[in-house]
Amino acid sequence: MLSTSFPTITGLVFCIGAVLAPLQVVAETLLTVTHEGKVQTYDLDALKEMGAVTFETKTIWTDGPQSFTGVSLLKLAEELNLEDGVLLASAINDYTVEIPISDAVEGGPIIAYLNNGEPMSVRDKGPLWIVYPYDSDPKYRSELIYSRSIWQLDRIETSD
Amino acid sequence: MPPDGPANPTKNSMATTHSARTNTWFGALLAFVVFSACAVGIYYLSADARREIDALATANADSTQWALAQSEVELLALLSETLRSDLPEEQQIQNVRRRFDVFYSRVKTMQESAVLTGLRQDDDARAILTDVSNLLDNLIPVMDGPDADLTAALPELTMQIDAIRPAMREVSLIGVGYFSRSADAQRARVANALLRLGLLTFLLVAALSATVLALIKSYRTATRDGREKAEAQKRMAVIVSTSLDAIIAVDIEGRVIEFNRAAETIFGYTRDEIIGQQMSDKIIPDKLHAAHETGMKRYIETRERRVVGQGRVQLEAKHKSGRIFPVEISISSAEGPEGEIFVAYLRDISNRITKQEELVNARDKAVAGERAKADLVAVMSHEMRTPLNGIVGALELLRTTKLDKTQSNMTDVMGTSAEMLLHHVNAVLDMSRLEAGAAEIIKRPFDPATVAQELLSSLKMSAKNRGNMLKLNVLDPDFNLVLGDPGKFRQILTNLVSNAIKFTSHGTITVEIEPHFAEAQWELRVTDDGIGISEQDQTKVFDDFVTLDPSYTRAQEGTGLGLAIVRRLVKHLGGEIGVESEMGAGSVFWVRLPTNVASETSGAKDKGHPSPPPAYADQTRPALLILLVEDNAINRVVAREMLSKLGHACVEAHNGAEAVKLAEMQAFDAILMDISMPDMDGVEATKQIKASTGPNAKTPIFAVTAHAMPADVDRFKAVGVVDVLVKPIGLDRLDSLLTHGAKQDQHLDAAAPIWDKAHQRELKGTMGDEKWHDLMKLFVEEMDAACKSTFARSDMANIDGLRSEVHKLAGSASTLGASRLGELLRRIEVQLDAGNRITARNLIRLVPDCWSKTKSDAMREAPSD
Repeated sequence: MLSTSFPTITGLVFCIGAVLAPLQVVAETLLTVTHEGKVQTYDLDALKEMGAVTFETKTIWTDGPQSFTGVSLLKLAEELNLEDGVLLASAINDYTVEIPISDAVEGGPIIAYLNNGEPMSVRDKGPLWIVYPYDSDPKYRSELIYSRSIWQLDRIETSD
Repeated sequence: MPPDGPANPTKNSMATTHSARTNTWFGALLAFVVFSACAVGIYYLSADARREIDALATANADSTQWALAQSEVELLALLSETLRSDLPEEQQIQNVRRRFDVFYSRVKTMQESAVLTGLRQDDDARAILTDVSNLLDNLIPVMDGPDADLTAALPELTMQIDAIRPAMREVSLIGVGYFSRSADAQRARVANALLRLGLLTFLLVAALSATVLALIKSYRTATRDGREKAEAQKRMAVIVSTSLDAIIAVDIEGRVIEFNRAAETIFGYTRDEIIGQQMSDKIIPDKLHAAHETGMKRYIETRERRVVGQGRVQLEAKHKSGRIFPVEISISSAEGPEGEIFVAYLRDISNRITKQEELVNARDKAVAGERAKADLVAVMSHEMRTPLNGIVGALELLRTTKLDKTQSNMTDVMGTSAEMLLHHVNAVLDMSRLEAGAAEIIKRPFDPATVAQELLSSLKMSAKNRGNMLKLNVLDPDFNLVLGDPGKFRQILTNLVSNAIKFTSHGTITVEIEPHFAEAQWELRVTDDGIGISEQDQTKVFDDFVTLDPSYTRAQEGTGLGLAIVRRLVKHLGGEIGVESEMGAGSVFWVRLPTNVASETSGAKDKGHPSPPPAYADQTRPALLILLVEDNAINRVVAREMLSKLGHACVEAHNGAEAVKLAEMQAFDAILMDISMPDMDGVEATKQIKASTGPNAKTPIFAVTAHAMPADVDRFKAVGVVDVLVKPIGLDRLDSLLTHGAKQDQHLDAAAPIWDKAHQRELKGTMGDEKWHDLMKLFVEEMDAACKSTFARSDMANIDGLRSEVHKLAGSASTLGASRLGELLRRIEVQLDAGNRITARNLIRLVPDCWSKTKSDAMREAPSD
């Protein structure tokens, strides 16, 4: 897998960058966050630096309990100083959902980059997947939450 | 009784209350259970409904539909990327790879996703997915291979991918069909859950409503009960407070718990003072404390009721002031809210007791007064009789002396007056005696006809004075013996005949005697043809001091006690008396008396042939030697004169001691003993004479006294007195007494048959009729002769001759079967042997009569033989 990151608006710059210096960019960008006009990108190491959260849960899309490791959404919100509003999360195939900042709580959803300790390929809903701890709370076992559990995530934009 | 509770809560109402309480508790428990069950049911059902709704939300997720649709979209996106020609080759390859990965991920999800498990249960869908998955896996080497290889394989790739489209379409359709069916089922489950929830909710609401209704009803009942209870309490309080009787209630400890207004009045305590106090300390007299404590203790231990529930009891109670007063009390026990209580109703009966005592005192005084009066009358009579004795006796003697005409008239007047006075005194005395029930009951055999005949003889003169004739009519000649009191009968007859004489002039007064054997009674009738008595007066004539028609009384004199005494006498003898009368036509007084004898027996006297009027100087009367004991000189003179008139000799003793001394020295035929004497009285003297071994131990002694009360008579007889001579002494009575002194003896063997028929028949059989008749003829001649000579004279001078004759005749009589005559003669023989000349003489006088009866009986029998 060479590149899984396709920015729509600002992503082009990175694409060109990537094309221009394909060998220099050791770590490919997994997530592009656009906040108040500023764009920030994260590779796997950057995400890992933000602190990892691991939990185990079943999902309606997989078979049997799964272990997920990733950055908690709360951590991301704190990083971006977000207190309200929504996050517009988009997938590789441009599937986009709105996730209210209020979902970002302790013990809440994470932006998973490891499934059962392994990095996730695009064929396995990777590389990033917003996962809620469905088993920990019945409120996470709702259609709304399921719709927010976006896989093949590659970009987040903040919005009021 | 507590004001705050019903007076007497019965077991019943307690039970009702109890069961009501139980019901309430049961209802509350039931409601609690129902509500709990509903709440639990609703909780579970709502959880169930919620789960089902959640399941609906999960299973019927849009994401499922989305996933199905998206797999096709992703496939088309991959396909369109392969067919693209507007991009540079490198870029296109890049895009194709990315789209492949996305589609691959999608297919994998469809194979693994839990929400699509249902879809995968469809065999076709599973097979298709497996085929697609295999196809994609086959493409991976190309996809991950060098760009040039991929570019070269693109057309082939496009064809293969395009070939998947119908399969994916098929899976989508199967999925849509399956999920819509499962959504339907899910909806049905939700609907069911909601329905159950609704039903349960409805039930809960219904139960709640029912509970509310029950509560409302219960509240209303409680309100009504409370109102009724309050009213009952009010009524009870009114009853208790207005009761005229004191009402006091105490608990089992003896503390007062109720004390009504009447109790306040009676005991002097206010309610507040005494409530809660020990009742015994306050209202029970100190002397009854111990008894009360014992009683309460006994009741608590044994439940034995002695006062409680026993109705009215009379006790004493204590007033606040310490005054003890009598109360009437009734105690009952009841179950109060705090155990057993005692309720006492009591009233102060001081007034009643006082009144009762007054009545008793009044009665006692009245009775004492009556007794004093009777005593006075008795004493007065006694005191009057003694001087009267002197007057009458002296007059009798005076008449025997030579008097000129004036003197004779005067003595007659004096005699009449004295007799009348004596009569009055006797009447009053009789009255008081009969009234006191003190009269002696005498049962002695006598012949009423004889008594009547004698009496009529003595009344002949007074009848004649008013131009009246007296007649005696005995209706049954065989009736000649009754047991009773001849003296009282004489009194009755005297009164009735005297009465008849008084109210009849120039008429006839008939005395009839008729036996009623069947009723063991005999009847005396005194009939006159005088003025008669009006009907309304007939009921009054027997009253005391009766005054009838003024003319009636004016014409006559008397105490007005005559018939009243008769009535009492008849009653005393156990008989009846009545009167029938018609104004102007005359009256009939009838008296019915008991005969007291069961069968006809023969008397010794021949009624209808009254003995000739007494001739006191009769030479046939044997001279007796009499000991006269009398301390009063006048009475002594009178008695001596009377005895000498009767042809008897006497020796005088002035007191009891003298009499005893004389009796030791000389044998007497009889002793007349005065009772009231100084030093030794007549009773003591009699006792000593009777107890002595002297010649007079068996001599008949006659008491002479003014004391005629029955108790006295008994006392005299107890020491051996034969009979009592009541002062003043009358000549008739004295003679009769000395002559008939042993009168009762004559009837002792009256029951012996005149003839012993069995013996007679035997004798006849033995000797033959002829010989028998010869013997009889001889005996009759001898007896007739003896009756004319020996027995007629009763001459006691030749005792030995008399005795041998009596002995001979007694033997003959017995041999021939003349039992009664034989007995009589044998008795005479015995008396002669014993030296009892008076008794013997008296018995001898009976012989002629007995013989005539024996003879006439034999005559009657003869023809039948």
